[in-house]
Amino acid sequence: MWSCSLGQINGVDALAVWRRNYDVNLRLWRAEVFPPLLEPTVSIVAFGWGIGSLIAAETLEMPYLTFVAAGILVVTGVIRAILECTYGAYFRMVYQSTYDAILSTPIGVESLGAGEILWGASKAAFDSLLIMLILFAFGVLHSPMSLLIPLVILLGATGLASIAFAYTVSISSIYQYNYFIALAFSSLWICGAYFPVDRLPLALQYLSWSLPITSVVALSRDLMTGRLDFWSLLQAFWILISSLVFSDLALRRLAKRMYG
Amino acid sequence: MTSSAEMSASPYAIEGSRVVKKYGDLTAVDEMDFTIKRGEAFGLLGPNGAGKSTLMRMIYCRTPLTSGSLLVEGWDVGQDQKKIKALVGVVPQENNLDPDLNVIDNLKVYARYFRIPAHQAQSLAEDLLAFIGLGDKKYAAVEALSGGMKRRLIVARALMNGPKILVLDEPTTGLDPHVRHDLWDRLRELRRRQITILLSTHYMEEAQELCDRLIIMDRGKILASGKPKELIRLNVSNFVLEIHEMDGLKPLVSHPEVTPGVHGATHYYFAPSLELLTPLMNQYPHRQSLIRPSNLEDVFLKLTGRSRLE
Ligand SMILES: Nc1ncnc2c1ncn2[C@@H]1O[C@H](COP(=O)(O)OP(=O)(O)OP(=O)(O)O)[C@@H](O)[C@H]1O
Ligand SMILES: [Mg+2]
Repeated sequence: MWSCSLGQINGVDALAVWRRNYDVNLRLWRAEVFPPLLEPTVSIVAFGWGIGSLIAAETLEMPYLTFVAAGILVVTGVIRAILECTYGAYFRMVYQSTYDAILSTPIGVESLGAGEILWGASKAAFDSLLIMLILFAFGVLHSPMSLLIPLVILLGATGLASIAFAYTVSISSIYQYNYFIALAFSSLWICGAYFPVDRLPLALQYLSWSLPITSVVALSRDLMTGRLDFWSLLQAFWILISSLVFSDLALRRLAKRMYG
Repeated sequence: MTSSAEMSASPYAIEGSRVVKKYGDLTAVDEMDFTIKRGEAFGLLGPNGAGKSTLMRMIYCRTPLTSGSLLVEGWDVGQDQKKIKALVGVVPQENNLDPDLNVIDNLKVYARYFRIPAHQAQSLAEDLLAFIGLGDKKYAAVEALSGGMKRRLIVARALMNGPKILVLDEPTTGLDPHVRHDLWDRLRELRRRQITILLSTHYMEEAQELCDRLIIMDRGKILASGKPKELIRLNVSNFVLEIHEMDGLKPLVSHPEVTPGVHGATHYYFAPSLELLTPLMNQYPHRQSLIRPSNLEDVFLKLTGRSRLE
């Protein structure tokens, strides 16, 4: 009988797991907060000015700087979430036996997984928030709706972090990440972050739109420019559905790994 | 379903019946029946791979049963994990302290998992560190602790939730004698506070010192159970003669009341009185030999040695 594992999550317990990661990060905040922001910020500005100077704003209906800013914002967050829920989670699970220790307390396995995934997603949202502050100074944010972008990234990154986490709890060696990272990072090049998806061959366009990250990029861009329409709603819906499905998958796999 | 009403009615902290755990083809715990009374110190003895850790992990809901039933304070491990885990303190065989957090934060993060309010957690953690003798290591990194200190920190962590049952999987392995005796004192004090203690160990002396009752098990089965003194009385005679370096020689049969045994290159002769053993000892004047009262280790070697031969 199939039952949704999301119903087993206890919010307080998940938050306790999240807080453990937060506390550890707080101690390392100098190393954790600023260095990871440098590269994306420089790349946004460099792409925006460099390639932007070759592209007329009419082609994209917005300056290339704005176009690519939305893309890199999402890509940066997603990479962060993926790294947290791959290597970070694997270290905690296998080398530090953190999950083993947590599961000897009243925290349930679904709440443990939810806390870990949410941690990855909130790091993505937090990073994007900081980068947006810088983008604001460059005049890239055209609409107050931009304030909703971290929320979209939080939700979208939940789904993508879940995919990473589901993979993490299914592997037996850290080398198996080579496959996953290759696929994940490849997808970042066709998700519409750097150029419009409709410039790709048709087959790749279908592939691209099937990836939830493409919708996160598109919706973030809509919010940044304040141009919401029916498609934006559809994107939001797909992000929500995929996040629910993948997080459910991740939690069930974690339960299997821990108790199977 | 079980209820808390049932819980107060039963004198048992832990009740297992036909408990089975299989890993693929391997049966790690094989239809074990046992009961542990509330407030007693209960030992699990057995060779490596006997199934001690597996049994303990089932008790603290870390590993599900393959079949059988297991009640902890009246709650079913299959259904009431959250309630059971709130009542149990766990010292696992492998250290799983959090290397990303310092000593006191290791305790405080645990408090959060048990929903102990932050201000209470701080003072509780400090009290427990003092109790376990790590009061001056509050802010030390976990990696900077010695093996024995880590072990003690795990014991402190297991006490954070004020457990009714303390499960200790080889708590003193790798500790020096001072620290071990120290830890025994702490455990005796916890027992006086009516905490039920379940302990596995490879040190027979430890089991004899601490445990009211114990099980000797191998290959997932109980070989014998009872009070340490009783087990000795029932399984081996009062005295033992040990003769070393007897490679290749067969033990002698001298008297119907003397039971010979071989372990490696050592011959053992068990007898109810010393007089029966001295003539035997004199037969080997050039070997290292020793007559002593029999102990739990003799019982262990006899029972587990026999089960390994079968
Ligand atoms: N996760 C697992 N997967 C497969 N087999 C396992 C697993 N855990 C334990 N076993 C097997 O179950 C048996 C019992 O192991 P267990 O760890 O319970 O023994 P133990 O009595 O605690 O031994 P030790 O004294 O060495 O700690 C062993 O044969 C072991 O190999
Ligand atoms: Mg063990």
